[in-house]
Amino acid sequence: MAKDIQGFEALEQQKNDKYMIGITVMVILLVMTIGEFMLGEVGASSNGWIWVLILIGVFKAYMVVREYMHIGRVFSPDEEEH
Amino acid sequence: MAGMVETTLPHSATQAELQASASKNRLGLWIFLLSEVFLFGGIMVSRVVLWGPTRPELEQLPAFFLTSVLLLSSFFMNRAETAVVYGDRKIFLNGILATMILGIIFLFGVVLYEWPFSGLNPANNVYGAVFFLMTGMHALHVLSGVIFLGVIYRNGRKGLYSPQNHFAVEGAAVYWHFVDVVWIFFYPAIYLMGVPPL
Repeated sequence: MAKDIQGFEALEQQKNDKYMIGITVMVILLVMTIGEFMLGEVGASSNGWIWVLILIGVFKAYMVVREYMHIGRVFSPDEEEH
Repeated sequence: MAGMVETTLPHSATQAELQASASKNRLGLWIFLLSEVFLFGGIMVSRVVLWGPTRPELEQLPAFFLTSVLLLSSFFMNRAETAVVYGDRKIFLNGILATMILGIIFLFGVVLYEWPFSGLNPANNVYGAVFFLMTGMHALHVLSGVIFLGVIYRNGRKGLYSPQNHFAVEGAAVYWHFVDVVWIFFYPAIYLMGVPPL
């Protein structure tokens, strides 16, 4: 009985951790998008800042592909949630 | 487990069978997405070649708003997928519904606001042609994603997914996030990079 409760609590903790990762990624993506927007607003994207925009885009895509699309599962089928 | 989604499998597949099936389906899904990368990559190359260091004069704020809406939809999709994995039916269904609503807002924003008020026409010049090609092809994928999510929502309400058997939800989620990734590159390419021509 105590083991069942411990297992349930561990599963709940795991679930909450996953939700928290989702929120963290969302906040990072929004902050970086605001950064992109501000760069565009000041017209900085016309010169060397274009590389900053490309880097921000690549980083945002990396975050989505890694944390939301779980690309790791393709190469390691055992990497399931629980 | 409380709130567990009921399963109505056509036959009693074992856990090992389900995992093996999911692995194969997953590989197929990612190969399909790779073909989509070539499609959108080609479109991106056309933007770089035809616009060069310029871009059309477009309103920034609506595009920023629509980009945020799409990113937020990805968050709800991720939440829904996590919920189905842990058998949290209510959060799963609400997450799918929120994703669909945000996807529809994005779609309406592009088709009903961006297109008519951009001042561009696909037949007029290279700016209009590339603008409508990029936003149109992306909007088509958002539309198919919303339809896909509609099917997932309907099946979810019927209780067809469980923590053990939910590859369809994973497939819809991966597809939706892919559409989001495409916009992550298209947004700066259309609205931010380069300067409007004199």
